[in-house]
Amino acid sequence: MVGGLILNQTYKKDFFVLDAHTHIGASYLTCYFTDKRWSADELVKEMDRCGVDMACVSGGGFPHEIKKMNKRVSEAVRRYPDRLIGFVRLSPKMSDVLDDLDYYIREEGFKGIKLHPNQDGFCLLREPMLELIYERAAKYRVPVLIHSGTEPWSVAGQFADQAEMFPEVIFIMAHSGLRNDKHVVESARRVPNLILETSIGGVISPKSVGKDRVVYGSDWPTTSMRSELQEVYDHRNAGHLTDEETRGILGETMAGILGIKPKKAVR
Amino acid sequence: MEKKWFIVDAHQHITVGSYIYASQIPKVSMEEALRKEVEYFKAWFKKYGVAYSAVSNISPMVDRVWRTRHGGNEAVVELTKQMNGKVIGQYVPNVFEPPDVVREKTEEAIRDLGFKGIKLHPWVSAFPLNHPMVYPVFDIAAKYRIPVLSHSSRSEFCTPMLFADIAMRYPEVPIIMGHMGKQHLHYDVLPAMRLAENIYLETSGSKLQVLLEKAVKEFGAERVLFGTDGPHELLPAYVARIEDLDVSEEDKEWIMGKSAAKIFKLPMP
Repeated sequence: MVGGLILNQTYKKDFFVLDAHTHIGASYLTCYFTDKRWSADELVKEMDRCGVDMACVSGGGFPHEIKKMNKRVSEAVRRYPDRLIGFVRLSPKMSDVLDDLDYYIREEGFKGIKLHPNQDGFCLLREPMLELIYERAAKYRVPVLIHSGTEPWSVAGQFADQAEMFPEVIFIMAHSGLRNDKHVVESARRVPNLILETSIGGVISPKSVGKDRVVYGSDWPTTSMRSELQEVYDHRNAGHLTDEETRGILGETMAGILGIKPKKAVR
Repeated sequence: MEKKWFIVDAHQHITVGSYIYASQIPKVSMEEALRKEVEYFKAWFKKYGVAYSAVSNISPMVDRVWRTRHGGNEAVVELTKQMNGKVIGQYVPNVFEPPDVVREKTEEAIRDLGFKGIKLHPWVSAFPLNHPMVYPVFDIAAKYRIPVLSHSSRSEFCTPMLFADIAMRYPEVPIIMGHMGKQHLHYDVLPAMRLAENIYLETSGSKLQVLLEKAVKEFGAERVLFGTDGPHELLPAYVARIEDLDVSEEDKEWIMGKSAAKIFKLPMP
């Protein structure tokens, strides 16, 4: 061999890892390429392989699959209550969206809401139903994870505007703008209740947006969960992140948002 | 995980002179910036064991009017000299100069300065990839049979469709689609590759596993080149992404290094 690389595998046992963004079924970015649908068993197996203790999971796939996928997430969370945290995927275009929200949060114990403006055809700040969803998110004290980086549906300035309008709601910008939006850092600085999730978009330094404002997510099965996680470790190993910042990004910040106690999985 | 890969990074840059974002321009002299780049490259190669890389300078892409004959490409010549064969240079032409001048300088770069490839950044430089102003560059690439790496994205200047158009016009030139459409034009990548056999993909900037798997299945791993858009410290994560693809080990070996080695005529293990 000429050259060669051995990965510096530094999955430290004492870091609690909570993946803030995963799917069962499919994802927005896989469903148009493949009919494959991923199961809860496959997700947990992947978490075990990568050293991920817990994951926030929502259903993904085609827009008409939303209700079916929410049910699958319920089953998954019941099967793996110590590993998976349910997020309900909601489309404000559906007439019973608030009923679904109430049901999954109150009855099924889901701890968050997932919105996909691009796929479900609505625009942040231009969809009146969102106000009712956010009012309930505030009432139930659950975060709202929203796809980002795709104008005109969901760009950073819109996140900051709505976070300003609903200061009691935690908004999580999935993908941190998809590396496509140059207003992410400035928008996050405007409001304290806007959190940046790392999948695809990469790790934005807490030094530029503040402590407890960045959370690790993979958007699995879109990406390699291991690669997305390795990016966080790579930043740490390069000295870009302190251990405290790394711990926050990997899981402790998200655990705080969800109101759960960080707990290493028994694998 | 423990495998030692033969890695060729098909997409690297130095920043000596101008940069896209003014706030990130190194606040040191050009000489000092180059010295720091050389130092970083040497340390990076030693740390990660990468076999070869293909490098261009950002400055000639950004500057609309060049300050020297080759607008900053000279720094890449110096880097390649100091890297003892580990680095090959990619020349960035200024397509806004008169066609004869573009042709003359590009040929000079290949023939006399030792550049082994061309790098275009239509988004940053603001020209459509298939515009006639770029033809002199491709004429020289065709003459010397060297590859052209271009940024791709949903910028109107470098969508995958424009790759197909210029690739069909120059079938003898390997055209590498840097970032493979980035985060939005996923659905253009495979159709563009179907139109032109001389389109190759470079993996940085895209993280969609299923798209890469589809490309390998339909076109073969020889048409996929590993890249970082670095050099940077995220190399282990970028390698992990390729390791985790649902393709054969042999395919991964091609992606990691053999495909680029073949195109850039580098020795393979």
